[in-house]
Amino acid sequence: MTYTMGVDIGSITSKCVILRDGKVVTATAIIRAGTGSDGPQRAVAEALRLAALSRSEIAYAVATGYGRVTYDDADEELSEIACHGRGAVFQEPLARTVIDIGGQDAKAIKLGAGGRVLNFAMNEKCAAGTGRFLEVMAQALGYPLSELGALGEKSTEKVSISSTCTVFAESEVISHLAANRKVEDVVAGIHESIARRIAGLVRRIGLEQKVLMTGGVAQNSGVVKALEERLECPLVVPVYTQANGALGAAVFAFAKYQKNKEEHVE
Amino acid sequence: MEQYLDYFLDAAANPVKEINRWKEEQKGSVIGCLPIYIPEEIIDAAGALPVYLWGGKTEIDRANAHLQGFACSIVRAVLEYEFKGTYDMVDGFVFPSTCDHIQNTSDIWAKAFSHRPKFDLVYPANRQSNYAEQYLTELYREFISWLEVLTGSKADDDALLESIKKYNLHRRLMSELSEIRAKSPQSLTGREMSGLVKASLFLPKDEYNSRLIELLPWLWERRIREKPKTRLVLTGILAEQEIIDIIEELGGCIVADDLARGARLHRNQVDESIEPLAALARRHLSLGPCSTLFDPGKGRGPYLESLCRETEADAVIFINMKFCEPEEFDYPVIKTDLEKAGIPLLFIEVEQQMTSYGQLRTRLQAFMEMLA
Repeated sequence: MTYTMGVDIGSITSKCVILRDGKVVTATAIIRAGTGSDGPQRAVAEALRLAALSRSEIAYAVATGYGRVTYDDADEELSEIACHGRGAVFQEPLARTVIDIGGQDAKAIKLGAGGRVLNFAMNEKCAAGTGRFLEVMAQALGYPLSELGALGEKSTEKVSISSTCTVFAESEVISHLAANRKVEDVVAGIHESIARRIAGLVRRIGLEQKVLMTGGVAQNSGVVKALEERLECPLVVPVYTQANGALGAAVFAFAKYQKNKEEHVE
Repeated sequence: MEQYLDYFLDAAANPVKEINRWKEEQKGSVIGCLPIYIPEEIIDAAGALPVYLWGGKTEIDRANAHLQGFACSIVRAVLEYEFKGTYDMVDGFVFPSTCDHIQNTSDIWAKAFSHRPKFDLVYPANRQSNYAEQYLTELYREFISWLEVLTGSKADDDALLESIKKYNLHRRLMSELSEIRAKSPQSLTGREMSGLVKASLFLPKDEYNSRLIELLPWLWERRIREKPKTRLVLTGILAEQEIIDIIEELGGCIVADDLARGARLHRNQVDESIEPLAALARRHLSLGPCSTLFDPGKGRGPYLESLCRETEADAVIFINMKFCEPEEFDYPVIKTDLEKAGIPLLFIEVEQQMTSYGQLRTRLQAFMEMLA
């Protein structure tokens, strides 16, 4: 049995996945503390504990995510674009497009066979349309982030949020509330504004089905639905939503381990 | 020869010191030129030193009162430097009609620094018109008169021809430098190339030329690094050092560029056999392709395609200076052209005052992994 590990160090969370023989997910851990904190170490410790393994039993480890460059307990680092692609086809072999919305990044990735990255686009200029945008809006509304999805579904008359800037959109939300618009209608408007921005990103690389949606924001059913309507196609939200990048890194780690082993034999 | 290279790199790191040194030795006027395409020959012929002002890494403070955060960071920095007194050695400024941001900064300048001499070089937008050459020649004549008042010396035809020859030689040498980078990328690092280009923006050209002539044969033979894994072409306004460093760290190498603060400055020569001002006008009218110049044929995509072929480049990186409208409007056209040609293209966005390069590194690394 060979165990490999992927560590995805994001701006807000750290994710760790341990994989057995490149096939079976043995453990996943998600810690709400990202780069610049002890989050990565805690995520690794938690995943090892769940898998009942020690660090020395991990044959190869790959780091990815925003904090990958400064993380020193991995054998190699790869960009999260490549890892999300690999994780996506591991979870859904027919995936050709990945939409990943994390804390500060939103990415659309076009995939070829085997999860090879053909093209990608990422958000420019600011964090509008990312996880951070949703967090700010939830705060302005006084609701926990996790309740926004269900809340938006109750909407009967969606309001329009026109600002693309997070700061301006926040004041727009406040003025809608001041004008006695229902919270659920405002929430639906927020989801719609994210969907609008992300759809533009996807169109830049060209939409091809199946489309996988990953990252923290994929847990918000309101954004997923709004995006499905915009793109006019179903989105697959895989089992490992937030851990998809770490999973891809673990898959890469296994391939790398095997390659190294073959080279040794020769 | 290493010390010749160091001369350029030291100068590039200390532009203010170098310009002051020239001023002290020559007792001449310094003319600050906003980007891009200034007829430096005319300034040189008037005995003044043309110095390009491309902004820089300065914390924007007072300029905020005049230009909002969503304006081009180059003009924001230029404004800030003037407030800080960095340009105190500059005797006059030239504002070309390159883009809305530069034209409007000229208006702001007129109010904020009304005591500072300034010339607006309003280029003919339609460069294909029959009247364009006549108009531009007249404009250059006005420019000479403005310089005469400022410097006390007039650029006559003999002086102009001499300056034209000097600049033709300069452009030829800079083209050879580009050729070295493409054919022998092991010869110099991206950091050295940037330093050489940066020094060319303000050093007196006779001094620059004579040293570069000595340096070039040595550079052809020089081997300081391995053959690059990935060969790249950069296009855009300018490439900050940090970006070039990241590209090289990731195993890439820039073999050619189509940057406004780069190869675009050294294209096309001036005809030495005709009347000097008409010759200078004709050079400008024949320039291209560039996002800041009228180009109905949209030649930049095909140009990049042939540049990639000539330099055996694997891909193109489009470096967008945030809020640069001319470049942003060019991008979709280039994207379509390069897609058709099967040349991978990465779009990244930068600001001059950037301090964090993490997200850019991710994009560049993902792109290089994709190409591998």
